[in-house]
Amino acid sequence: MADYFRDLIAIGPELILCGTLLVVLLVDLWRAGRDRASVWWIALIVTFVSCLAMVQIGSLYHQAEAKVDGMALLPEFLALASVYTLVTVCESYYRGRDDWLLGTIVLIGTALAGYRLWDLGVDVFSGLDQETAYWGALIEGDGLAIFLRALGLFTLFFCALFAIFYKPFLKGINRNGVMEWLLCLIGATLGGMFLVQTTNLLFLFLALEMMSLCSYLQAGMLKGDRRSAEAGLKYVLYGSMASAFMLFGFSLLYAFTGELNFPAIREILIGLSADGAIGDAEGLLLWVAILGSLTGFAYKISAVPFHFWTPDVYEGSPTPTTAFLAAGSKAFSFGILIRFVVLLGDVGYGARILELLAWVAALTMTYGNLAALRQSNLKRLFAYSSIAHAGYMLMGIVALFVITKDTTSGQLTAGSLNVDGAKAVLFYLLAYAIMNLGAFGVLIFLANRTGSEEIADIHGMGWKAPMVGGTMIVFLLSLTGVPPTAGFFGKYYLFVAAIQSGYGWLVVVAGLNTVISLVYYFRIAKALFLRGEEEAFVEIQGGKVFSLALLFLALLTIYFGIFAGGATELLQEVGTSLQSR
Amino acid sequence: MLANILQAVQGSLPGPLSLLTFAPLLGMLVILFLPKAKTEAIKTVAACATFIPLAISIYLYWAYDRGSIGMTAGNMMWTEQVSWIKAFNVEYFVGVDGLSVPILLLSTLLFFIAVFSSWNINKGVKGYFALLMLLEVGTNGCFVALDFFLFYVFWEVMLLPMYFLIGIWGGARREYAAIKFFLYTFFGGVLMLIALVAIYMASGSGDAEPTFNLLKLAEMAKDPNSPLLLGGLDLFGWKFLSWTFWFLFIGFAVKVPIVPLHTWLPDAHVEAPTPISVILAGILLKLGGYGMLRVNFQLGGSMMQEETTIIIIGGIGVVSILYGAFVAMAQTDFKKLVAYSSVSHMGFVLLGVAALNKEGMNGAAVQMFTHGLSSALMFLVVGVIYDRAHHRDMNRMGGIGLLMPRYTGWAMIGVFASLGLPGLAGFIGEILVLIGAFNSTASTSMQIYAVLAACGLVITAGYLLWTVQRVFMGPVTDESFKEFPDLTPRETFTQVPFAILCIIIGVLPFLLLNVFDGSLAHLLTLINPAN
Amino acid sequence: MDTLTLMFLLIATITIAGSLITLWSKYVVHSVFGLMLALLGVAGFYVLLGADFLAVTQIVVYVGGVLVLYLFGIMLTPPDRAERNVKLIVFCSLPAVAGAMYLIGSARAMEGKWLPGKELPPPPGKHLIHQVGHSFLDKDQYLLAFELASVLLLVVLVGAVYIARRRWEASE
Repeated sequence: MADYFRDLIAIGPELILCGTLLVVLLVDLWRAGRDRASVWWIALIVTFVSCLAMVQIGSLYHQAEAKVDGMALLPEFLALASVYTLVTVCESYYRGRDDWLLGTIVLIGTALAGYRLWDLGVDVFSGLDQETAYWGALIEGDGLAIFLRALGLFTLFFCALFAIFYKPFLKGINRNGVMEWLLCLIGATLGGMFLVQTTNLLFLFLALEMMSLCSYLQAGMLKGDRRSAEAGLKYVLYGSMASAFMLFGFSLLYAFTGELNFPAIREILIGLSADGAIGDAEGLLLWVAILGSLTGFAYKISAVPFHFWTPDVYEGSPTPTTAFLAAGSKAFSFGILIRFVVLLGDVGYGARILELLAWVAALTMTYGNLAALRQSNLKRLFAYSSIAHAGYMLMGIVALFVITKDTTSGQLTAGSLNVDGAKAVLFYLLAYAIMNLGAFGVLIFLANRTGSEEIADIHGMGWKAPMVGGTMIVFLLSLTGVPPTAGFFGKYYLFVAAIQSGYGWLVVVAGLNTVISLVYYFRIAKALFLRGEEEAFVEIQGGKVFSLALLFLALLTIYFGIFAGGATELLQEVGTSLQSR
Repeated sequence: MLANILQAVQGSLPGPLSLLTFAPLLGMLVILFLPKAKTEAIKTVAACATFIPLAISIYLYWAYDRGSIGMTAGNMMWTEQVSWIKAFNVEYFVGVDGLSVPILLLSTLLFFIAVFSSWNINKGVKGYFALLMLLEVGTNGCFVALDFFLFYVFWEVMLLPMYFLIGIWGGARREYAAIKFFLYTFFGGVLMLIALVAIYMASGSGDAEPTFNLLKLAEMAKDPNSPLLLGGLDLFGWKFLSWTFWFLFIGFAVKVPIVPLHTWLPDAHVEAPTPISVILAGILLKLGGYGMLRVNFQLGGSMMQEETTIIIIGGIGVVSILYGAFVAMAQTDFKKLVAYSSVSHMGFVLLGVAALNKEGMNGAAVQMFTHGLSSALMFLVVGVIYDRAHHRDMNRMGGIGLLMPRYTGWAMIGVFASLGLPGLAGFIGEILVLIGAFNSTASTSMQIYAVLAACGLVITAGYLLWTVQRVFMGPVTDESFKEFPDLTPRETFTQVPFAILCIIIGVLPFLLLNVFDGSLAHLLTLINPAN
Repeated sequence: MDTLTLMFLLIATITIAGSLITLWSKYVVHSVFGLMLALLGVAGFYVLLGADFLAVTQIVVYVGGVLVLYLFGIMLTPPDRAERNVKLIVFCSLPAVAGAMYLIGSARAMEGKWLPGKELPPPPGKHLIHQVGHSFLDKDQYLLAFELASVLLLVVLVGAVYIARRRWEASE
């Protein structure tokens, strides 16, 4: 029984998220047709208290890990049960405005899940938890997983926050869809959080589909907006295609090795190649298998040539969803990609795949940047920029292994693991999440006032809202990679990793791309500050909370651009845990 | 007891160089928290925040130990060294030697003057001065940084304020000029970053820990077997040393700027508001030259010993001199003329460095300093007339000498200093560079270059004298000019320091040379141990 | 030619024919029946391979559930929309061709050899469903996946209901 709880504790943050999800659902059901102001508050307090209780119990468990019995988690379930009872009772008194209710519940739940995750992280990073496989080795709670789950919660928090302020969710027909949207957001994050933990092909597929399906739904959720419907449809169609390829790859891998777990697959493949059992034919098949699997990930991170969905989906989706796709979905997908490549990159024909990926990286960043130059819609622009950034990050994936070429036979072999590649990608994901969330936040702020997402319509907005405009400049700088911002360090780490692994040419391509990206990022800066009639520069009032949230993100961007050392040391641990494989 | 306390207090205080670098940052934060309407308070804060660095750098100049040679860890003065990012061995490492002290003085002086020169800015005052402060942080930081990474960070910090200063407060084509400036410099910066990463990785080969410490890297580069010269990553078939050297060179050359990477300069200079043009010409261009001396040539010393490198660098210098001068001659826009003359003058810096001897090096350094003075003065001069006439077309000027005698007097000092008249600052640098080039043993082509550069001087004299004739002499062509007041006290205050310094340096060049000399001699031994 | 091979060829023909009908038929209803053939064929393969649980699931879920849903959908659509665009048919065939080539390539690569690696576990015999049930509810096997699937279904259902619903009345 004890190890049952051990496993439950390991997914504590996810459980809290599930609880939040249910609370949102129930609160929404209960409030239908009724309005009483007090319920608002009581629901919040009860959610808070009960989740806090769950968190606290989790901590207690950690402190007294040795003496745990079946009763240890009972209070958690009692707390959960009491939430529902209390909310039901209180609901009958509910009346008044409730715009913030659901969003706030999600925020609280996310914060508590983050707190829970913090405990887990302390254990993992301080080396307390040596054995990190849970649930029959379906998931792995190692440093990589902790880091990316934290990043996922961070993204979830800000996406939910943005949703509270997102105008279409406040007025008109879409007001009624907020609950569904929030559910899908939490669901997608849940899927992603499991995705980065998994080491099992079957579970990987399930988690990835959970993330995808919830994202598809989110994308298409804006009623009365053709672009949103188109976004949802396109996303589903392309997505199912990619899933099919991935599943085919997985099935070949399974057929090849008879195993579903990454480490076991790796072991068998290494054994086979040591026996010389992988000839040309088998090698080719393995190549097809891995390539097929990678297709699914490439689609999610929108690498060329699987990027076609990106601009339309980014443009059509509600902006908080776009922020989630750019920051969260991408981070999760890169997380599993790191795991996948670290385990399978140097067996069989891995070297060839990595070489191919290097080209994909170069193409992706170049295409993304060039296409972004011509955009006039801000969301489309950021869609192409996100393609470009996927290219940069792929550089780190490629750098995971040092490729050596046999001069006589021309045979490529992947040498030792260079964990700096993974560290660079992870840091970049962190930086990218912060700056991208910030940029989309500013977009929402501006669109709430101008009602448009075109560059031409934000002229002079920087003067009207100096603080928000200023934060946008920070985010743009960071996206371009100018110090002292987090984005610069991300790019720097990627360059270091790539040069370590001998990809000088890729670094030069990336460098030139950075210069190109400057042009379109600063078209936004230009529109904000350099354009517009001076007489119209009356400062916008209101939106204080939102502005402060954006300011926080901007300060975070600068913080990680100056004190990158802390995060780097944390990632060092992640790298070491990857090294052991 | 008291001594202990004093010591403890002293230990916790920032050193003079940190104070010098970050005082403007403090000023910026204060400005950001001031209400927008209080423009006078904002300007006062800006003046104070730029005065602190100026005072410190005057002290540094005065207290600098002229006997020390710099460039080695022991002789760098006022060093501060704190670990910044442990995982990558990045340090906050600052210090100054004879090369940086005078340029630092120039930089802080220019910013202080620029604040006063900006006094009549009335659009977005808060943002303007905040950005100006940030710009000073980046600039001063570059001149004191002894860690390559730190240097790069400061280098890039300058870009953004400059972009907005040109883009928001500039002239008609300001958007174009701003993004062009940003793009060119950022392009150079990216190449620099790539080289920086590669050099860092290479310095860590074997048991050695990789480092960004410029002093350590320079020491490493002296050793002919060092991995900085032999090892590292090849790129597109280029050897490690040559690609990193040229990447760095382009990175710095964009800022200098050299022909053909100069095209951002006329646009930026012309469109920028006067104080920003002053800073651009006076200091930002010097950063290119400074960076070459401090970073590029030290880390690639053995590249400098190859004759091809000398031919290329010297040749670029000469082409810049001649091209800049000829194009300047064709201008009718006063400001554009000054801008192109900067291209021409900065060519001397490259030529002097390429000579690879003491005269050439000193000449290059002095030329940077004196060009900072004379070009700043010239841009201020242009600014004065533009403020009154609202155009800069020299064909529509004339006879100002009669109308504004005091203005003309200060302007003449600038023109003649720029022209290289003996007794004024410009002469010292140019003559030293020419002597250096004639005496150079680095390449046989250097003598030819010297002759060509001397021809360039003649052209320079030509266009500057013609300018004087068109603007200050002759009859008054435009009646409206007659109503122009002469210099206001504020304008006089901005011009006088430069004019006086031009004269002082012209008459007493040893004041400058004895600071430069030791450090440059040491630099020369790093670049070329044979000297 | 033994019985097994004969069966295989028969089922393969049915499956491929069904897929082709699905793709090329001009009437949507015919397509749906073609799809049914193909899905049944796949179920037949499962039987041949000894995976009877999978075969039953295939029939129950796809033929019994998904297809019936399709049919309902089509029957509720106005008839003039039920005809198919010929261009679209050709366009849809392209991925099919690509997929076929991909498969043939893989098969040739295998050159008739079976894959190396671990032997697949033998078909578990008559207690298959028993085993499946156990592995779903065993903590050390697939319990987590099973539970996650339930959350997935909940969320997706709620979302899908919202999307599928007509426009909300403005008054609400």
